[in-house]
Formats: sequence, structure tokens, C-alpha cells
Amino acid sequence: MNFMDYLASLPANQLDGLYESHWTCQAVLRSLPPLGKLYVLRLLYIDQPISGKVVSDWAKPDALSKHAVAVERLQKMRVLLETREKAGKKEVVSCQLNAVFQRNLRHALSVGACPSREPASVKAGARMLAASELDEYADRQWDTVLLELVGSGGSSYPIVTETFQRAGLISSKESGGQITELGFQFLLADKSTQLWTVLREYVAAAEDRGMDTPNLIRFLLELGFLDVGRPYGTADLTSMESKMVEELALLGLVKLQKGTRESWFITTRSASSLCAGLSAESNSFHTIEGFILVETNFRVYAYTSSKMHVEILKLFVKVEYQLPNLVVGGISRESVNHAFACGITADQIVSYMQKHAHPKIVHRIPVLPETIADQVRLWEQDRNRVKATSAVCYENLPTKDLYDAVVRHVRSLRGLLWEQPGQRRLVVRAELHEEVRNFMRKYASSRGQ
Amino acid sequence: MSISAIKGVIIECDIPMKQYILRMNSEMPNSQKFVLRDLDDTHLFVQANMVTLIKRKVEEFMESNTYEKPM
Repeated sequence: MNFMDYLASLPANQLDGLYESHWTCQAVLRSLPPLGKLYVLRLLYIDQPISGKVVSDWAKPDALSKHAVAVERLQKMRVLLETREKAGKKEVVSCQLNAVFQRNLRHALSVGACPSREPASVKAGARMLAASELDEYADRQWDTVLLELVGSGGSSYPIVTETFQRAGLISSKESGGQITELGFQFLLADKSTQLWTVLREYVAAAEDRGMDTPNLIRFLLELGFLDVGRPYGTADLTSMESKMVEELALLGLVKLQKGTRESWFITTRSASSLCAGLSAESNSFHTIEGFILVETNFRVYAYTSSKMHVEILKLFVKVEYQLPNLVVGGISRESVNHAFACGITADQIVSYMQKHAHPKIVHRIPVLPETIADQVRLWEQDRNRVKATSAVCYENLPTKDLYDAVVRHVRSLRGLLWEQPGQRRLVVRAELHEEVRNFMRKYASSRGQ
Repeated sequence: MSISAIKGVIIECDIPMKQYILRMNSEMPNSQKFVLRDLDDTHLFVQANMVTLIKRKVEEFMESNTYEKPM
């Protein structure tokens, strides 16, 4: 899921409201599949509805599937509206662009999508930041946020903690604010997934915090259009926007700088790809420099000075030495069992080590020695040698017909755990007990027994 | 005979593990036997309140069976 899917899931009137801003319109246009973009531009200057047949004739027969995907997407985003009218016996379908969307996109295209923000003046001391400098800042900031999650962060930001709680990554204050299973899994996810999870909760939480959600979304989308690395003055931001900039700065999405008299903010690459609703694969920022070397003898060398990386590694590696830029440790049954107890799966551990492999070994196939990956998975299986499920065991079913009917019914509800037709015995998930009892009763009465 | 419904927990495990659990059951005093039905080679139907105990015992058993090389 990304930002655009989130928009598509909003109720219709809220989405229409968002189209009042030409930033939303442009961001949506940018996120469409190529064919969808073409259709929007084709319809942009047509004011009256056109018949649905014309639209479906645009695609050649062999491209119909692509056409269908594009049209479905357009309708999901409420860009293309379909009206059905009964004319005599036939149903007439006509299509039209969403009027609000059309007006604002036309405006943006004809007036020019001028940057609405004035770049901060050089006089005040603002300067363009190099991409590498910004990335480093964003990474560092994000590390601090994650450290907050594992509970060894320095200062506490209430907004970050709140967002984590909403996302279920840490338990509520009453129960101690401990990191949850979901939280551990979150730590091992890649950065774009992490950012998106947090951003989605941030947007969802806005309403409870008395912020104007549509305006918040609009501003986020606008951030996606600002030049990365260019400073923009904060003087012309509304009070809510400047509050948002401060909070997003905590997440490393924007960088806030203060000059002697005025202050300005700079969007980072994470912000621009996240807010533009690009999918995770196309994000360039998650191609981070790897740092982990794993040897076939289960030793792990991690060339990192980030406290965050060390914290994550400690989840499944027994750390032996810690030098300023190097962590040496070993993977053992004990150390991964600790991770499993936290709710982390073997696949997550393996994929984390693969994704963060040191550049020296990243071209090796497989990146992670097979023995390691297999052993970690075997250890996980070993833990789950005994699987227990609450259940009800039914015995002595009088007839084979009844037995078969019950088995079929339970199987269709995915509740059958075990069966033994010879003995007419079956074991069903405990939560289906009522259901099975009613079914048997109904069956008996329908047979007049 | 009327239909009987027994509440409990179904345990799915490999064959040796089942034998281990069965032995655990036979070592229990009569009042604490927990295996309700011996379903097949890999399935047992047991009393719900004993599941945590079973899991703990199994874990201890496996712990004693593995050699942890000193780092």
C-alpha cells in the first residue's frame, strides 16, 4: 500500500474535497498507470460526458486488460465518473472526468505548476544542500526515531511515541510502553515500509489531534513536488503547516534550519518519493549501503557505527566485540531463539541480513551462505515442533451421512483440524462449536429424526 | 449412543515428540492424566489446562538435547 491507495480508500466526499487542491490532482495524475495518464489528458478539455462505448473503443482488443486496469484505477481514484442511465431497454453508460479534478488540473497545466513556495533567500544564509548531506541527515534522524522504539533513545518526542502506539508497535502507556511483536517485525522491515507505516498512522491520528486532515494530506502531497535540497521559507506557512514541518523534521522527512532572522525547511528524498505516492520498488532511497558480513561459520561482522543497527543486530546475534565502527558476533541457536521469542520470524532475519549485506559480498550468490539461512529456518521449525490449537472433538456420530455433511460444512468454514471417517470422529476449531451444534440439530430435524 | 463433544486442545507434532508426550502422560499420577484421545501418529487430543506445561516440558527436553558450543 502507498499514499495513493490510502487516498483511494477515503470516502468519496473527502476525496473530492482533496481535489480542490491542484497538488492533489497533479500527484494523482503522476501516480496513474501510463494509459490512465493518457486518458485523463485526452478527456481534460472535454466538458460534456462522452459515451462509455467511445471509451472502451479506445483500446485495441489485445490491450483490453491494460485498458481495464487503467479505467478501474481512474474510477477508484474518482477521477473518472461513470453514470448509468436507462434509455428505453438499453442502459447507457457515459463517462466524465471528476469536475473538481478537471478544473484544478486544467488550471495547474495552463497557468503552469509554479512552485507555490518561494525559495528562502540566500541573504538569510539558506543554501542548497547536497543530496548526500541530506540523505545522511534523514538516515540519522530516522535512526533516532527507531531508537525511541527500542527504548534506548535519549530524549522523548511525544508525537513519535503516540504514533508508534497507534500503529501497535509499542504497547500503551498503562502496560508499560514496551515494544510489541509487531514492533520487532517493524524494525526489520525496509525503510520505505517503515516510513509509510508511520506516515499513515500520522495522517490517521491527525483528526484526533484536532488537525484538519484534508489540509494535512494536501500539504504532504505538496511536499512531494518541492525541489529536494532547496530551502523554502517557513514564514508563509500556516500555523498547522509549520507544526507539521516540525513534526516531519523529527521523522527526517524534512530538515528544519534556522537563520538569524528567518527559518526554512528542506525536503529530503524520503519525503519526495513517499509523498508523491511512488511505490516502494521505485524508491531510490532504500538502496542503502549494506554493512553485514556473514560467514559460513556463523560469525557476523557488521561494519557500522549506528547505534540503531547494533540494537537491531542484538535481536538475533550474540555480540562479542564492539569496536567504534565494527561489531563482531555470532549467530547461535540461543541468539535466534531470543529473536523468535520476540515474535520475529526466520524469514525476517534472513531477509534483513540479505538486504543489508556488505557491498563486498552483495554480488555473491546467494548473498547469505546457504548453511546460515537453512539453519536459522531449521531452528525456527524446531521451536514449532508442537502445535496446539483449541478444539472440540466430536465422536459417535450416528450415521455416515451426518458425518459427511458435518465434515463438508466444517471444511467449507476452514475449521476442520482432523478427521477419522472410519470411527466417525472429527476435531473442529473450538470457536465453531456453536455452529456445528446448530448444524447437527438442523440436519436432524430436516431428516425428521 | 449419542453424539459426544469434548472440549480440549489438539496437538500436532512429529512422531517421536508424540511418544515423548505420551510418556509424560504415563508418568503423571492418575488424577492428572491429560491425554483425552490418542488420535493418530502425529495427533493427540489433550486437556486445555495442561498445554503450557506440555510446551514447557518439551522445550526443556529439546534444550537438554542440544549442544551449545561455547563461543
